[in-house]
Amino acid sequence: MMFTHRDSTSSPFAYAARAGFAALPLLAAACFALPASAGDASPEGAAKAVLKAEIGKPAPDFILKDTEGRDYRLSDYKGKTVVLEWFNPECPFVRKHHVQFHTMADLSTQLGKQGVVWLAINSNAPGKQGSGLERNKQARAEYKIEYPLLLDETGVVGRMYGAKTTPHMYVISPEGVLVYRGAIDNDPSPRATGSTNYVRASIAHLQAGEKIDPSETTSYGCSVKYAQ
Amino acid sequence: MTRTSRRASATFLRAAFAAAVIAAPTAPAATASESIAKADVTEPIRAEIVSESAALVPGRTTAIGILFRIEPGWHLFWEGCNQTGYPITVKAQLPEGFRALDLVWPAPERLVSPGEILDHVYDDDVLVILPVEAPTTLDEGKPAVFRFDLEWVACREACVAGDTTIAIDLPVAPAASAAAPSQHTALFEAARRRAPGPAGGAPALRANWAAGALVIECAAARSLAFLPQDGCESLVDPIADASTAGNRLEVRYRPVDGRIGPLRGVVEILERGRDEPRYVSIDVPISEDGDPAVPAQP
Repeated sequence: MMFTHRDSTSSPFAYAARAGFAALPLLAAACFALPASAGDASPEGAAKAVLKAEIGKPAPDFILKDTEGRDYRLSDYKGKTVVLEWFNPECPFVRKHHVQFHTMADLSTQLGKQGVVWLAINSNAPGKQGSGLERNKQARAEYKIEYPLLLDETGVVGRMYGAKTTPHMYVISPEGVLVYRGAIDNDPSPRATGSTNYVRASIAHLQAGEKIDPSETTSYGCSVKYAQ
Repeated sequence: MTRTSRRASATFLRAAFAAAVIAAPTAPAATASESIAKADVTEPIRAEIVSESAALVPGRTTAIGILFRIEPGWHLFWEGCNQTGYPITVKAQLPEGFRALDLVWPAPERLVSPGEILDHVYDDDVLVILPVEAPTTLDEGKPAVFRFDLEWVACREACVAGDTTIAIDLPVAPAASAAAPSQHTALFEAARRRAPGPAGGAPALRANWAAGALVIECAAARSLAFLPQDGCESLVDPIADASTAGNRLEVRYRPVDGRIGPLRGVVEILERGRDEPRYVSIDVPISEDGDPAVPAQP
């Protein structure tokens, strides 16, 4: 899989307008908790003030750095299907899909051959479990993750998407529309994988031009460790 | 994190357990005759099996309890709507001829974490009750062995998965004899007070579908709360909608992929003049065209 990265000094307004992704969230995410209003400068306040991810609506745009220091902007992938995976290297549910089973590696490789882009995001706040550049660099190597692992320590992007668990999965269509959010599969236990992989199924529906059903499921896993 | 305040009941359960232990301070190590199994020591959770009766009686129902002792700061997950974690799972292997009835789950606490994450959890010792019906033909001289496969995820900030298999063997009393209570009866009584039961004993309650919301009304209530067990994806705002300081509660639902619900859960009722809440299960049926039917009355 090949991934592009860009210089974060580009204008978020100009790019979002060009790409068709939701522009206002991009400002909040790109500026890392830039106050959305004079009264509430917290990451939660910023996220509340901007668009929230909703099924059938344009996916909020963002720029985040990965563990290698490169910037990734969601709207760069306009024209491609994008999978977002919320990540915490210490979570037993994440380890289930990365270590006990190779759900994420196998599926991302398979989908990558079809041109699907896969991005992992860690929204855990500094000092919380599974946070920090070094730990995530180490985890990416340990888990043999071949796709970018983006760090969202302010939690702005995670809150915009309503990410609650690790893993929490999102599928974005080539048109930049959020078409699936929820669990990776239908077995929420910490030690087994399910018979239905919802991400695989939703992308198959998308590629076939069919209705995506389910478009929302209850995700499962550890809580995302946001700052207070 | 914020929690609703139902500490009195939870504290009582812990106190009940302490009382059970204090009642037999010089008792030797646990044996079958004390109706307690060997404890598992997987931290931060310790699971034990206890029985409400000291012995089984042929043809009678006996309550067996799975007691999860929870280290302070940690929590386990209820079987209803949670946005994280994994609920306690209990799989029972019964002796031949026994029949298991439905598990009785005490009502949980609501836990709201940063990021508007809602879970329903147990953060204090919790007893899950499995009533079992004994066959009429039981050999008085042969203890019956009940084995339980337990699985859970315990979280503080971090989460750990745990599991164990533990067993209890119970002696058999003569047929038609009275079932002698064990030393753990207070634990069972405390757990039942927190468990939703048949409407008997609880004040009159109406649960209807109206204008996109499950409307719960209870004239005798000074506060109401709803603990959803199903249809979790359809809840519009389970944090905002879940409780009210009044006698009418609206829980909004939205269609997901053309479906709503099911509208199933537990209503917590705090009546005027009472300090301890009562719990009622509701299950508002959904008609074939996808609209919840009305009315539903527990």
